[in-house]
Amino acid sequence: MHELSLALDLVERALIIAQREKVQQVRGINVLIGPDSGVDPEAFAFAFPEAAHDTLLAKTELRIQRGTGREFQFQSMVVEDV
Amino acid sequence: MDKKFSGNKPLLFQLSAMAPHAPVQRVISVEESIFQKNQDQAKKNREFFDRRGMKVFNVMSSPGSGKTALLAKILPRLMGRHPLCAVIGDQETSLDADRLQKAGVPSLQINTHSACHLDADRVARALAKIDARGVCGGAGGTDLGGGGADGAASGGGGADGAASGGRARETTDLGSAAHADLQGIEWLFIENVGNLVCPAVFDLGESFKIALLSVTEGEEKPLKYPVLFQDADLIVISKSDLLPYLDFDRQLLLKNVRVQNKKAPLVFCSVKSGEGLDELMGQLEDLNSANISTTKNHAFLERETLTMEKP
Repeated sequence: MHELSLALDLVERALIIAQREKVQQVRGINVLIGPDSGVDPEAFAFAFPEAAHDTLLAKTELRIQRGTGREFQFQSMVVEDV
Repeated sequence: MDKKFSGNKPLLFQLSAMAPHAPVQRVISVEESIFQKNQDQAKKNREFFDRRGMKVFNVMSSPGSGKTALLAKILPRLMGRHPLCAVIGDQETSLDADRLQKAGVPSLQINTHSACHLDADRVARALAKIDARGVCGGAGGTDLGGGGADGAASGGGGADGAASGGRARETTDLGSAAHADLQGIEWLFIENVGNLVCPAVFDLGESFKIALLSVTEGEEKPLKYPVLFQDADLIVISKSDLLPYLDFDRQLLLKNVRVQNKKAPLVFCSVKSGEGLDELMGQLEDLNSANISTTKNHAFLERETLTMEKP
């Protein structure tokens, strides 16, 4: 379950960006996971709410797009400003 | 599309009619690897090792394939030529570090507790701990044999409590500490947590990755767990003394390994019979002198400047 530690890294990074951008809400996070990345998309999706618990991302929707190779990318985040 | 929005009126009008003060949505494009945080630390580790001319071997396998037994056998023999030390990752206990320590190898145990792999930050903190405890016998790095007397060196089971307690928020700066205890150390062996899956995707800043597979695990493992074998610079097939008792197909294994990895040297060896150990040590020397840069072919994108997409 290295997916949990990676989900924690994602949440940490997203929170840094959210703070810097002074966003009110983070609606969604888009990630790209390839079949050869060494990361299991289901396990990652399972781990994400746990990692996001009690943070600004607690209600954020994680959208996983499947890649073709070793991709494991934090693509973008959909945010709301005041 | 939701039924509520399917009327004739333009969508924007409907939205604003429903929620007159709707907040503005925008997309922040990030486009960076989620491995980035680990990668940032791995880069720092690698720079640290390069500055000191250290070669670092990240040894990975499933649990029980004989990583510690192999290291306890060959490291004492290699120490004469290359001052070295070892860092061992396990969920719990300091049993493995104790074993290596007993074999005369300066060793530090890392306990990962819940985690199934080592990451670059844990390695960085282990290096600081080696220095703080004088694992390698103090500055100078020449007095490497007498580690056994220094009880602090191998660390207790709970030694890594601080590391597991909270995740470091920033990367660990290796440049700020003197690390005098590592002075003169040429080789560092990192025995990863026994696991064929998770360790494979975390760069520790190592120079070389070594994949170990015991003959009892079967010929098909390189196909089932590709990443570890794809990235390995050296593949070791251990417990070869058991081959007479197994229906093990060497050719099939070789074929399966080569599906994943065309060029890594492959060595059959046994700690019991001694078969292949000289060859293995020769391969380590070859890697050492090959001086190849092992920035792996991870589809790893460097962090890009954030770009904003305003609607």
